[in-house]
Amino acid sequence: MKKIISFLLLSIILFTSCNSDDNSSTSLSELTIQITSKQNLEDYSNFQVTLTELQSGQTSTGKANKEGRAIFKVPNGTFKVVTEDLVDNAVTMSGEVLNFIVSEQKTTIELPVELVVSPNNTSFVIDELYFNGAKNQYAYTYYEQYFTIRNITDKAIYADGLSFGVAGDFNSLNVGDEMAKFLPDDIIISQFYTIPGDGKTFRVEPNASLVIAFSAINHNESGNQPNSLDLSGADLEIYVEGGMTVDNPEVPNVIVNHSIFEAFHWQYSGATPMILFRLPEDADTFLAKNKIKLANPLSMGSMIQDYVKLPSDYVVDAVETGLKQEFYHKVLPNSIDRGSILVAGSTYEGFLEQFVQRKTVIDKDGKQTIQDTNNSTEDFILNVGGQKSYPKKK
Amino acid sequence: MLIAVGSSIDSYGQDRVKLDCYRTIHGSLVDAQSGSPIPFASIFYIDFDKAYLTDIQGKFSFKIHCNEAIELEFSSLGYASKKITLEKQQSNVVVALDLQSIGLNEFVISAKYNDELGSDARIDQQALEHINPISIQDIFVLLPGGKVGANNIHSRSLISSRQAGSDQSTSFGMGVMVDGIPINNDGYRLQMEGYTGSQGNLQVNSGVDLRTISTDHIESITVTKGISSVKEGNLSSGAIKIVSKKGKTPLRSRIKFDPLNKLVYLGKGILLSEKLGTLHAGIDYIESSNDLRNVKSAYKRITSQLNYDNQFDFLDRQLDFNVRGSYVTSLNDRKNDEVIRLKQELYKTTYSRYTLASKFVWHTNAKLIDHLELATSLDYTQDLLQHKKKVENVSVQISQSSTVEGESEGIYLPQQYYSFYQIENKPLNFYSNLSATKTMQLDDKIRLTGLIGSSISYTKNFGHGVKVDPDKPPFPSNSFIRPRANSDIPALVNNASYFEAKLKYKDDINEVNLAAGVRTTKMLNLPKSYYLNNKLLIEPRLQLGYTHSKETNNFGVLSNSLRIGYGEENKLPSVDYLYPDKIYKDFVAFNGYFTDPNKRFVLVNTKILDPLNTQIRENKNKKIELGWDFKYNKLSISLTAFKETMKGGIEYYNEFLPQSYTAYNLKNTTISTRPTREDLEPYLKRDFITNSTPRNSAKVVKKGIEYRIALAKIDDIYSEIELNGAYYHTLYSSGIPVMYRPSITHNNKPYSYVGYYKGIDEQYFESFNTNIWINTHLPFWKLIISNFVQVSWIETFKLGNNTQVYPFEILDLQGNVTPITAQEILEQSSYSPLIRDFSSAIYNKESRPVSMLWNLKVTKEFNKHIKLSFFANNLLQITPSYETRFMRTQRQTLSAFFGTELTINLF
Repeated sequence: MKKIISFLLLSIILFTSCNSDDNSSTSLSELTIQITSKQNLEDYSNFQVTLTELQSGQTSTGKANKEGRAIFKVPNGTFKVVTEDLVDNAVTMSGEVLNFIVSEQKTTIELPVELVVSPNNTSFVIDELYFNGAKNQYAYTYYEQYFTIRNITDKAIYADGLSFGVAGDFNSLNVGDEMAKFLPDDIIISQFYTIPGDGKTFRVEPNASLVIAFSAINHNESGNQPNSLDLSGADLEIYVEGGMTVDNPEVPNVIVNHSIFEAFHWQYSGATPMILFRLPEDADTFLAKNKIKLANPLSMGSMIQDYVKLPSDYVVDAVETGLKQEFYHKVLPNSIDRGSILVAGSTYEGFLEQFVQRKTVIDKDGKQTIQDTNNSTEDFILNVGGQKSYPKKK
Repeated sequence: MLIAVGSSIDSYGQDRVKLDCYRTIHGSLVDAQSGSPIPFASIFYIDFDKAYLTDIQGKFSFKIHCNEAIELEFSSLGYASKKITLEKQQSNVVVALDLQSIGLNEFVISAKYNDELGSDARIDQQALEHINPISIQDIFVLLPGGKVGANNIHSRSLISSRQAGSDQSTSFGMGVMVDGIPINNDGYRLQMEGYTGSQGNLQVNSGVDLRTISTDHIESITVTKGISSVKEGNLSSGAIKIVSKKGKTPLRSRIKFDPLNKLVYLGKGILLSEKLGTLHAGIDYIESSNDLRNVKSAYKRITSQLNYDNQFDFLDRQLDFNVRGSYVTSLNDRKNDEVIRLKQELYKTTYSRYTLASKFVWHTNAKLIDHLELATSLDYTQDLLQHKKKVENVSVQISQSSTVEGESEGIYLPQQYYSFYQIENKPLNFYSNLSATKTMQLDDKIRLTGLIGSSISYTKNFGHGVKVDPDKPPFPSNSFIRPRANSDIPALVNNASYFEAKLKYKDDINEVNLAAGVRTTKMLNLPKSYYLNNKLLIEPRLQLGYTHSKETNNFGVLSNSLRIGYGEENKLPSVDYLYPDKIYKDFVAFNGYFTDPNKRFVLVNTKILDPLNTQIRENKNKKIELGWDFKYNKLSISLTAFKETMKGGIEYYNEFLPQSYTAYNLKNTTISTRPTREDLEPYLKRDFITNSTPRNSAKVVKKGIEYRIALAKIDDIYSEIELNGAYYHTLYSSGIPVMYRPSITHNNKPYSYVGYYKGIDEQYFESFNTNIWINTHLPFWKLIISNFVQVSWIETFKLGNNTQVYPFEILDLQGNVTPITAQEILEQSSYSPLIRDFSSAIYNKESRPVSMLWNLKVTKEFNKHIKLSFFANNLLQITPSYETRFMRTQRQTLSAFFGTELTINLF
């Protein structure tokens, strides 16, 4: 009897001590997330860090301090971490590490962040392209071209510092591969312009667009040009001094970095695609390294001008617009656009209201958005006469 | 009896120079059919190069040297000319002329080349009637190097001479003379920004508008492409000398009909009375279009000419007197043009020219002077261009309203408005020339002729010039002119004097001709600051020819001639080049095109540019000519080699000038009211401005060989054959360095340097052609069949290799000009746009393949009154396609063209 009672007591003691031993084996590790960036930001305090444990799906969020450190206490496991500098529902930089293991007591993981609006991320895509123009009886509507870029993320982003350029080669001319030989690593462009701003000037809400117009004025002010557009409400204006257009002071102007035409020139037929890109360095340094003398395809080889080599790695989005009747080779590499969207007309023609835009689709969340599969044959539709006016908001 | 005395004296003193032995030739000229006399017919004394006229009774009388067998050529308008050889003893002769008819055995329709010293070509009535030209340019086809061109006078093309291609200076420098009196349009001014130079029907600085000269009033035309006589001046490329129809002629009418041209002519010369002389009148009407679909907008022209001739006795000597009046009017009203109708516009040009000319030739036959000639003319032109234009701006334009330099507020032009402008030129030309000639027979072999003279010409434009509303510019741009009335421009007064000595040595075998002369010109009445004011310009002209003749047994004389010549010819600048108007250029200092029209505000800064070039000079053309002529029996061969160098052709040259002005930025773009100066932030802006100023900058060097092989009528095939053509090598270039500014924008700013380049754009053109005429004359059927084949063997174009790729100097925005080397340009990336790089394909030679065309013309004379022609041009064409320098295929074709012509003569 005595033996049974002492055995029981002993086992109880053992069990309780075992219990305290179990408690000590399930304690948390310290995980330090260190945000780094190529731009060497001074203040990381806007960054929100979200940690997700991959097996359980548990998430925890925290804010980084000024030096970019966020400390979490987590059990060991496999995690993914995402960060973005969310301010007022808008982000400019983000980063993620998709898969890492925490097994030590103290772990430090580096989390590099970069600009949201950059070639490696999905941010802006070119949506509406109105290069073709229209006719008012027998008078052509010059200077009424525009294009829009759309934010297809779920947060607001800023377009500051984005550049756009016009390809130098024509996909409608069969004049040799003087420019096409640089593909797929580089695309030759004849002009490029940059959206100004301090980084937080041109805010675009999710699923909203930024309108960039050539001559942002009301072209039908007098009323006798019914097929002209009112672009006085555009977000940005392309104004090159010495060109044929006036300047609307209420619409900010893009920075004119380089143009071989002393004007903005986007071939009305559409055979010179529009390219959206981001330069990792300042424009002057880029230009000094990438200027190249090539023959203008329209000059039958006689005029050699200062074109620019744009590395494909810098491209955010581009669309291979071209002509149905005259399409000889692609100007953009397949990695950027596998297909093409072709319109009616010929190289020297235009003004047939050939307007193109992305298809509207319903995404997995049931929201209306636009399609972007890097294949303009599938992503774009031809909507003749569908060009829109963007009048000034009262 | 006189003759007998003369010869006895000769037999005694054969070594003495027979200066004082003359015999008088008398005679009369009559119509072969009617027997009636032919007044004012011309008698050409071939050996002595002298011309005489029959008097009102058809009689003639002149002295020639004794013991001479002479050859005389008698001709008169409407009659077939006749050559008569008078033996030594003969001194009285009656010559009968037949009316011109295909039925005659002698009917020559090619150009005549009679000059022992030069390469002048004369086309007379028979040839003119046969080719039936619409315009004088059609006549150039007969000459070596001539090529068939457009078949209408609606479009105006540049006159070209001895060149492959054409250029403005050659056309500007072609002199046109009617009866020795020059026609010019140097008094025209076309100073309007957006229109200056040549557009539409109005052209200045490219010579006489040949469309205003009707070929129907021409008796003969002589074209000099080589060295002109000292009497001819203010020309640099050549001379077209027209002899107008005069005297008594049958009533002639001509009707020409082809898809593009309709022409009617009526002309007759009557003998008023023996005392009153002859009066010849002619009138014609032409409608010429350049587009079969749009014949209503054709160029319409009416011309008329009146020639009064008489002979008087003045101080016992014969005085020939001629007065000519002519009237030309043309109209081009494009009211049926589709776009003009749609936009309710108006475009009309009207042209009228009135000419009154007189000529007195006094045959003094005195010790110092043989003939004294006074020619005077007055002509007045009214030329008006009216254009009501609907301006539809595709972009917003700023109006130019300032008349002073500096900053001012501008206004934005409405998108659409009607603009009206007119350009009026009313030049009045006065010309007078006094000259004297003397011929001296030094001995029986040597003859000396002297010519001395002086002329004065006055040109003043009384027109308003450009009339335009500056608030409604027809061609909106950032530069504008405040035009001066043409009547405010001083008159051009030019004075020329000339002297020429001609020496002729002729014996049985050898003949040497030498002509040495000098022409001096002065432009009086220019502002004192001009280089050309009262400057004496000297033009020497020298020609030497040697002919060797040998009598052969069978076929007459075999003769060989060599000739060489050197001459300098100056073309003086026109009123348009001498007095260009100031240009007002507007720089945009602030461009505030707000959406709300009430807020709009634009500031312009006006700069006044003066394109005046007081240092403008004459365009001097230096010519060297070498020729060889061979004649034997029916064969004649002629070769002329030439080189012409012109370095100072006048053209509008673009120069860049740096400018600086204050520009503004808007301080606050969200401004809710119209900005005022306080809302603007100033900054200094620099840019270049282009100034188009007349300069002696065009350079043309012409080299070549013209050839002619003619076979006079071969009886067996009833045909005469002529082969002519030319090899031309022409260089077009700039005589001064060219300025170029790369059009590239970098960082919102246009390019900040202008480069000066030497050796830009040397263009080499080459052409070699052969024209073949086979004129078959069947007098028994009264039929002429003309076959014309034009073969173009070589036509090439090449750019010179020394197109300068690197500038040798650069101009910056501060106005500094610094020399620069290619090395320095390559080292700095910002200079790279200055490298004028061209793909190598641009230097490839472009050649057209051999091409040929065939024209056919058949003329039948039904009776003395009626002659009908039918022609087919481009009946056969072989024009293969070819590859251009840039590997593009091209083909040139002319469409076939048919027409008919009817000539009716009534007596």
